Amino acid sequence: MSRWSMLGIAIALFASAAGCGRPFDVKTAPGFIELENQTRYAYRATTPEGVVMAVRVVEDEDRGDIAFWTQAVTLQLRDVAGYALLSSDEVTSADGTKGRRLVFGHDQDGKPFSYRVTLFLAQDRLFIVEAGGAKEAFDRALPSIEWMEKSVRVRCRPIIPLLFSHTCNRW
Amino acid sequence: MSGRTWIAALLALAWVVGCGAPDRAGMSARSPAHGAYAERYRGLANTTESLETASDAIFDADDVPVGQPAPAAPPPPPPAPSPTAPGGAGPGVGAPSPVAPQDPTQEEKRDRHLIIYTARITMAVYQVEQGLAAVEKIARDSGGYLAQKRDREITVRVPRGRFEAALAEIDKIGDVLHRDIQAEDVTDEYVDTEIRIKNARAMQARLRELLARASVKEALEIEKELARVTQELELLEGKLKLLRDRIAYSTITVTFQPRGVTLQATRVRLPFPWLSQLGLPSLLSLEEEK
Repeated sequence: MSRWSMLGIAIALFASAAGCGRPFDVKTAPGFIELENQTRYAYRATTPEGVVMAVRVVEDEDRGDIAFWTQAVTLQLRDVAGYALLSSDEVTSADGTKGRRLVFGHDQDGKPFSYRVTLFLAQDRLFIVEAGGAKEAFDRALPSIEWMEKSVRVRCRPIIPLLFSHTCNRW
Repeated sequence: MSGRTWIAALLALAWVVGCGAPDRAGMSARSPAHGAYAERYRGLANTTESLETASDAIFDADDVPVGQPAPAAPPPPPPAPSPTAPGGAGPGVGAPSPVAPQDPTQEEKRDRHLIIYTARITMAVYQVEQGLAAVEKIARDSGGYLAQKRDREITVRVPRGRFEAALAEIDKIGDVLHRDIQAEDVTDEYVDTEIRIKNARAMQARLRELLARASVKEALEIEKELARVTQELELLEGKLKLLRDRIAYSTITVTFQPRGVTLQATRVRLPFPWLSQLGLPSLLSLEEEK
């Protein structure tokens, strides 16, 4: 095998490896631990009190814009599930992507819980960042949650400009 | 000045005095013309008079605070409702009539519509305990009272004049998912009940007169009829009392529940499975993942 063939195989392997992993990046705040072997979530972390932060990635959901998905999520949670919509704000991810954050409140077994959903559209994907927990514990963990939300990157810099691999955290 | 001039001057003065719209006090004083009218339509006029008295009594309930101190200046009574909310234009209580009425009884009827207001509000399920307590406090502060309270539902009664203000306050305590306001005009029912009561009382009086000079055999029959009329009178008086209460105090029911509970069957389901997986149960169930 010539030197050029070896180089070609190496580049192919590198490109393949670059395609693995998550298509986003998020930092885990102190006090949270990341959970492994998640099936429904691409990322999920929790505190000892059960305050959870998670990210879902829905592939090929570039058909609707953020307004569409915001309305769909609001109808599902507010009208169907009875969550109280407390606020709706425009947010920006760490990479500058515009998104929408919905803050809900809901009682579970007679106790108040907080729940936040942040939506980003990038890379032909819908990124759903969720955070929730019992209101008291959630309020204590809120600075950490906000820090983690701000750390989310859904449109990352190319690892190798030549490959135009728009990936994050793929190692 | 001659006698003719004096007569002409007196007639002119009388004409001037007779000008201007008669006020309510004037109407209540029963001018000769009104007396003749009332004589002509005695039943209807009497009914209207009693309706006016009843309305005044009902409306007075708005000004009597119960329990907690009420705001200093109560808002005006709600206008007649539109199909969706009680804020639309229409022949509301005390609403000015655009055309000068010719028939005083009709004017009374127009001005004294008796309306029962009922509101059902569905709120999102969040901090339900505080929400129930807040609704109860709003009712008491408005001079109303608690009618019923369950785990996730509360019914309060507020004076009719404070109905809209109470609704506005309730809106602030949570996320309102749905609001249903109904206005039922019971003027005809009220008038009808009053006429029936009047007739029943007259019948009762006549039967008592007959009873006084009846033979034993006749007395048995008359007493039987008297018992029936008395029972009917009690029922009618009870109905009138209930109507007065429902007019004087509007009913507001606040329920903390998802709308989807009742709308699920007819609701369009979007073809995105992940939507139904959103929410706290899925997010917080840490043991399910493998």
